[in-house]
Formats: sequence, C-alpha cells, structure tokens
Amino acid sequence: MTPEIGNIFLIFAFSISVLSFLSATYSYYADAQIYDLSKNIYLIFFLLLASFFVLEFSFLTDDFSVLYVANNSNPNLPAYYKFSALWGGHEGSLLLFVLIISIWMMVFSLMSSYSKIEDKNLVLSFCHLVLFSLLGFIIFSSNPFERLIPIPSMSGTDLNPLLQDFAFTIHPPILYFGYAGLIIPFSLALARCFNVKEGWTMHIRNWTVLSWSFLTLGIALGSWWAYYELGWGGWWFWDPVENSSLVPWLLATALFHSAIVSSSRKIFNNWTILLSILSVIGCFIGMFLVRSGILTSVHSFALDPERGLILLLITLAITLYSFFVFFKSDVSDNSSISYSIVSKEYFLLINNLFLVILAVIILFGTIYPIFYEIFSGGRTISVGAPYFNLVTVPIAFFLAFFQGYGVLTKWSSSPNSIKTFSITLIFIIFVSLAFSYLVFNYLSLFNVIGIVMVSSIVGGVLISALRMFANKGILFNNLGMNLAHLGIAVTIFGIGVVSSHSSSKEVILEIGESTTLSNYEFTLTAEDFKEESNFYSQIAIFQVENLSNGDSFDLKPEKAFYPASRSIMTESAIAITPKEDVYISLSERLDSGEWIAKIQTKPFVRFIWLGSILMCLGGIFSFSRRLIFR
Amino acid sequence: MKKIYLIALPLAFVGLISAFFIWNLNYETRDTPIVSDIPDFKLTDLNGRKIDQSVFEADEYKLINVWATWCINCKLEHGFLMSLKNENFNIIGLNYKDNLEKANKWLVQFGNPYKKNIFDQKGELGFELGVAGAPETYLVNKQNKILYKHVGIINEDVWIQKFIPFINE
Amino acid sequence: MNKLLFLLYFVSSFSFAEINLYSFKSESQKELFEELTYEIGCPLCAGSNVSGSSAPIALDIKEFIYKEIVNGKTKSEIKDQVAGKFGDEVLFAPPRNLSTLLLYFFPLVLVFFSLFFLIKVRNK
Repeated sequence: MTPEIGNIFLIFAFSISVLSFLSATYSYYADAQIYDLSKNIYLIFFLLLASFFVLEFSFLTDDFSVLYVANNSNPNLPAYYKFSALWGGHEGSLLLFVLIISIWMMVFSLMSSYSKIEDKNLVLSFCHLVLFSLLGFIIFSSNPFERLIPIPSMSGTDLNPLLQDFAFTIHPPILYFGYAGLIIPFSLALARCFNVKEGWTMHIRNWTVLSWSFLTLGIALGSWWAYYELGWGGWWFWDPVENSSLVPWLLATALFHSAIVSSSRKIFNNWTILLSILSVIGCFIGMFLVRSGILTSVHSFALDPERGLILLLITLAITLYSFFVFFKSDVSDNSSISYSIVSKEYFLLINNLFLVILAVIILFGTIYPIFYEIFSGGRTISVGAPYFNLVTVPIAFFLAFFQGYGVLTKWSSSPNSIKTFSITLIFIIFVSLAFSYLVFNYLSLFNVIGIVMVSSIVGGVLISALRMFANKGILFNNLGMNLAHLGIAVTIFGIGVVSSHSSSKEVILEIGESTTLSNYEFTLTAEDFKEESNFYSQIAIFQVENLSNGDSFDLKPEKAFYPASRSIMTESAIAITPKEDVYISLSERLDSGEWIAKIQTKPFVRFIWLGSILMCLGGIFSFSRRLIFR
Repeated sequence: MKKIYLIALPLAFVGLISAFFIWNLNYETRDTPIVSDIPDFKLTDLNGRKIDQSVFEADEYKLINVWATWCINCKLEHGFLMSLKNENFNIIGLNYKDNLEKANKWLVQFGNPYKKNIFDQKGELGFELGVAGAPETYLVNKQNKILYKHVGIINEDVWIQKFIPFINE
Repeated sequence: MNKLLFLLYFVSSFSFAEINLYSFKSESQKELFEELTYEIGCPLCAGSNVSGSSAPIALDIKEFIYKEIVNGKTKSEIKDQVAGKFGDEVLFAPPRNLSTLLLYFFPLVLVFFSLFFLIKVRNK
C-alpha cells in the first residue's frame, strides 16, 4: 500500500469539510434547508482515521521512504514506540490533532439535539472552519506523507530517547483531546452570535468542562513525566510549551465558570462569548509558539519560520473573523440584574478576572524574550521560573482564597449576609494559622500562604458538603464541583510542601560508602550493566535505610546510552513512600569508579498529580451528570 | 463590561503580539559575541609545548575552532575546515575536554586543518570564552577581538551567510 | 520574599566532607548556592537550570559558582560573571533594569486595572 493513499484521504476530508462549511453558510443566508451535516462528519472521521492508520502502517513496517517516518523512527524501536512515534514530530502530531477534532465533532453531533437542523449545522460549521484550516495547513505545508527519494540506506534516525516512555506517549493524545474539545464551545459561541440561542450557555458549560478535564489530565501527565524522566526532581519549569498548555487551561476554567453565571443569571454573556473565542485562540498561539521555532524549548517541534508564518496567519484570520462576528452580534446581558459584593456573581467575576490576568501574564512572560530581542537590537534574555513564581503566586493565592468563599455564596436572587461572610472568614483564617502552627511547627511566610490557600478551599468544600447533606436528596448536586475544588486544594498542598520542605544533597560515593539525608541512610552497594534493543546502561545500586523505622529498600538509578542518536539519558530511581518520594539521579561515573549522584527527598509531591486526577474526575462527573439530567 | 472593550483589548493584544512574531520570524539576528576579548591563558599544545594568548597575535583574521574526538558533529565539519586551510586561513584549534593521545591520532587519521592546537583538557579556556560544547567556531579579527561566535557545524552555507559579512566589513 | 520563594531545597547538614560534592561553611552560603544554581541556566539545554542538569558545562558552571561563593563573591557579582561569559539568556530571573521594566510592570498594571474595574462594578 502506498502512503499516498493517506494523503488522498486527507484531501477528501479537507474537501468535505470545506463543502460542509460552505453549505451551512449558504443554508443560513438563503434560509434553505440542507440535509443534516452530521453525516458528513462521520465520513470525515473515517477518512482521517484511515489516513492515520496508513501512516501507522508506514511506521510499523519501517517504511523509510516516507520522510516523516525516516525522521522519527528506527528499526530497533519496540513496536509500541513505533506506533507512538507517529505523534512524536510536527506533521504526525498535527494529523493526530485533526483526527481528535473530528472525534469531538462526531461526539457533539451524536449527543446534542437541536429543534432546528440548521442550528446544529451552523454550530458544526464553525468546527469545520477550524478543521479545514488545519487540514489545509497539513496537506499543503506539513504533509506527513511526503516521500524521501532516494530511500536512505541508513536505518533511519532514532526517536528521541526522552520520548521512549509510556507516560510521554499518552500525554500528547490526552492533551490534544483537551485542546481540540475547546473548538466546541468556540463554535457554540459563534453560533450564538448568529442567533442560535437554544441552550447555548449550558452546552458551552458542559463541553468546556469535559475538555477541561482532559486538559487537566494531560498537563498533569506532562508534569509527572518530567518529574521522573528528566532526572532531577523538578515538576514544572515554566517552559514555553508548558506555559502554552497552561494558558488555555486557565482560560477554559474561566470560561465554564462564566458559562455557569450566564446560564443561571443571564449576565456575563459577553464574557462567555469572549472567553470561548480566547480559549481557542490561546490554543492556536500555543501551537504557533511551539511549532514555529520562535522560542527554543526542550519540547519544540519543527523549526521552520515559513510554516510558523502560515500558522500565525491562520490564527490571525480566525481571530479577526471571530471578533468580527462577536462585534456584529446582539449578545448582551440582562440589565435588570444587580448584585452585591458578597454574591456568587461578584465572586465569579473576581474569579474570571484573575484567571484571565494570570493567563495573560504567563503568556506575556513567555513571549517577552521575543519583544526584548527586537527592541534591544538582538540581545536575548530568559524569563524563567523566578519571574513566573514571583508574579503568579500572589494571584493564585487570591484565587484560592476567594474560591473557598465563592463556593459558599449564593446568587444575588437570595440574600447573602455580610455577617455570616465575616464570621466564616475569621473562622477560616484562624483554622489556617492553627493548622500551620500545629503541623509544621513554625510559621514562615511561604507556609502561611500555602496553608491559607488550602484551608480556604477545603473549608469551603467541607461547608458546602455539609450543606448538601443538610438538604438531603441533593447529594450529587455539586459533587463534581466539590471534587474538582478539593483537587485544587490537594494540588496546592503538594506544591506548597514540596517547594519548602524538600531536601537534597550532591555526593561522590564509591562502592561501600554511605551518606545520610533527612532520616535516610544511602549506601552505594554495587554496580550493574544492562543491554536492550536500542540502548545499554550503567546502573548504580543503592541500599536505602529509613532510620526512623528501620525499613530498607533498593534504588537503582541508571545512565543509559543510545547508540542510534548518540545520546545519554539519566534514569532516576524513585521510591514512593506515603509521606514523600526518595529520589536519586546519577550525574556521572568517574574513572576512579566513584559515582556522582544527587539524592533528594520530595515530601507529598504525589499530591500534585493526585489533585489533578481529582479535578479531572470532578469535571467528568459534572459533565456526565448534567448530560443525563438535562 | 462594555462589549466594545471586551473586543478591542484582546484584539489589540493579539494583533500586537502577532506583529512582533511576524517581525521576529523575518528577523535575522546578528549574533554579537558575549566575550569579545581573548582571555589570557597558559596551556600546552598537542605536542606538550607551552602555548598562550600570543598565539593569536597575527595580522590576519583567525578562527578558533572548538573540537573534540568525542564530538560527532565535529567530524561533519572537518571537510570544510580542511578546505579553509587549503585557502590558507589561520585556524587555531581548541581541543576541548579531550584525551591527548586520541586527539593526536585523530588528526593523523583525518587530516590537520589547524595551524596550532590548544589542549584544553579541563575546559578552562573554554569556560572563559563561554564555550558550552563542541563544535563552536569563533571569528577573531586582526586586532584580536572576537567578532562572531558560531555554535554548531560550520559549512559552506554558514560560512557565506554568517562569517563572510564580518570579514568584508 | 524572594529568598523564601527561591528556597527549594534544604541541604542536609551532616555528612563526611569528601562525600559531599559541595560543602559550605555557613548556611547562608549553602542557600546562596541553591539560589544561584536554581536561577542560572545551562547554556546548552534549553530550560534547565544548572542545578538540574548533568551536562558537562552545567557542572562546570556549578563548580564556578561554588568557588566564587567560597571566595566571598556576592550574588550579583557571580551572576554578572556567568552572564559575561555565556550571555544574559542563562539568567532565568531577568535583570531588573530599564529594558525589563515593562516585564515587571505589566502584571502590576493588570492587577490595578482589574481592582479598579471591580470597584467600579460594585457601585451598580
């Protein structure tokens, strides 16, 4: 089977998408009834799936006549990694991305019902707009089926060894499900601008929550992967690619909260539309930053300015179009509503504002080096963790603080008492300080910040849950929300503790020597050697003894060498205990036989990702519940 | 918030950053080197003879080429370096964190494009120059100022696009 | 505030001197080392700081930082020296000077703007 078939499928899908968009537009303006466009979507999905499988076939059969396969695979790769290598590079990952967009369109089409077919068609037409833009980009300037002639005699370059890891293989697809899903609220918002009003706020809320769940999980997977794979215990680097995923996440969070207000109170409608548009634009800008080579990063894809320019132009076109549509629309708020400052509306307004500000600041910091380069005549600077930590922590603090109370406020249609509010506030502050003092034995500024954030959220969740039980029967009403909010508290707890209570040490040890860190004793007992299909590694064996309870275990960090790409990877060894992670990574082995290693303890680091799982579960629960009880 | 602000502000922001991106995509940076003066040093060459910064005193343009036998890409640029040598260009090698015996063998086996070679086993001179790895090539002018630093393989295209503009000034 | 924010690791205090790769006489020197290795990046590996990189150049820079701290140099002196050789890009905390004023100012402007807006809405 020639790979060209894959390209033909792409072209068919592209054509059908363009035609669908045109016919939906025509149908709207000519007020004519066209058939249900959702049938087109099944066809597009199958075409893209087929194209995907054609490319996979090339990978799995080591067809190095396909340029993309030659650049991203190697005959010695285990089959699973050949499969996942498809999305290890620019062209293939874009193919996966459009496939996922088509899946979302299909699911949305199947699960939503509109009284008028034209309305549904219109919503889907905006999905097509994004879909065919990206498909066009793939077919004409980032085609994975491009051939390499003459076929190289060498056995293909290797997949970057960093990427030969299970978590890293599922991280992009899950993340893409998150990004792609934001197309749905985007389309719903634009359709609303064309007067498709049927349940628009509720739909936006539900579909955003589902996308958000995937995005949360995807980001958490990336963080977890970086922690155990990159070798030194960090879990977030404020790297441009990471920031590119965080910005849409923040905007999506603001979006579904705004949609909740729009749904219940018919205000913040403009916010909801704007955020729907901005979330997708945020995704596109992120895509541009990562793929244009304009910012170098560990994760960057293709470094081709021309492609970057095209992607940027697509982004601009979609931006201008959406804003124009929004401008011309009649979207407005119910002007009879007013709300006090202790109402849910006000708290959610604060929430929206701060989340958006956080997103803008992070985006700005990420692209600042580009501005600086232009205005300083070519000099470059880095904007890294110190800056981002400095500017995001205070805002995040207030977000968490208000989240706790926000959950307890009521809509302004029922009275909110300032008295109850103040009492709860004082109570929570008191509990925070007491907790901090008792558990950690001292109050440092960093601890207090963290504890207040966590207690506020947990307090809010608990009181909210208590109220739920008091009003028996509505047990599952806000379960999703509370679970997700609790998840944030858990994550913040993990971040706070690991940032201030980790310990680390760099040592040189020869076999037989010991060293101590925290309440553990580490002894280098032996060395080993291992050989696999595409790498070999040196292993240092440590025996670790927990001095407080006498437990003992082995840790075996490695240094792996990959001949095909000639790279050296550090495989750290991690022991997970309930209270902390014990982490060893190897620096180098000296000629004298001594090993230089870094040992660390990371208390409660797992809570960071545990919280994310809770958030994701909360979101999924909320989505499925609302869908069932529509 | 009034709808017009909700539209104008984000649009302006996106428009502005897009303008910067477009500018940047087309902008060819002229990398000015960070270290412009050759630091003083006392090391040996590959034959064990003493060598110091006076090796750079010559009324012509010179290159400092950072290389090592463990550096794969260095092999790829070797051919071009030889062609430069045939044009009588003064290339001074900085053998970086390498093994003396291996380095000498390498030059015998593949050819020696260098007029002189500095054996920087610990990377001390490299550190002072801001060397982060190999290969790297520095262009030094007649007054011993470093004009340009190139990180990565040097070949015909790189030479014409990046180095020649400095030499012709 | 900065010190607390940048304080990622405590270095444990007891062990044999030759086993500890970097040993310091005082706690403040240890802290300075942790801060600098956290804030200075490895020139080769985009995004990693020297604390978390095992690239040879990262280890060289770490050694350099260690020696300079032992020699009593201040944080800004060491940062200037490293940037003087490897460029400003290796400093992850962008320098606070006129050209980066916008960077540090921008978040403040946003926050003030939103506070102003929140107060204005309140008077409805």
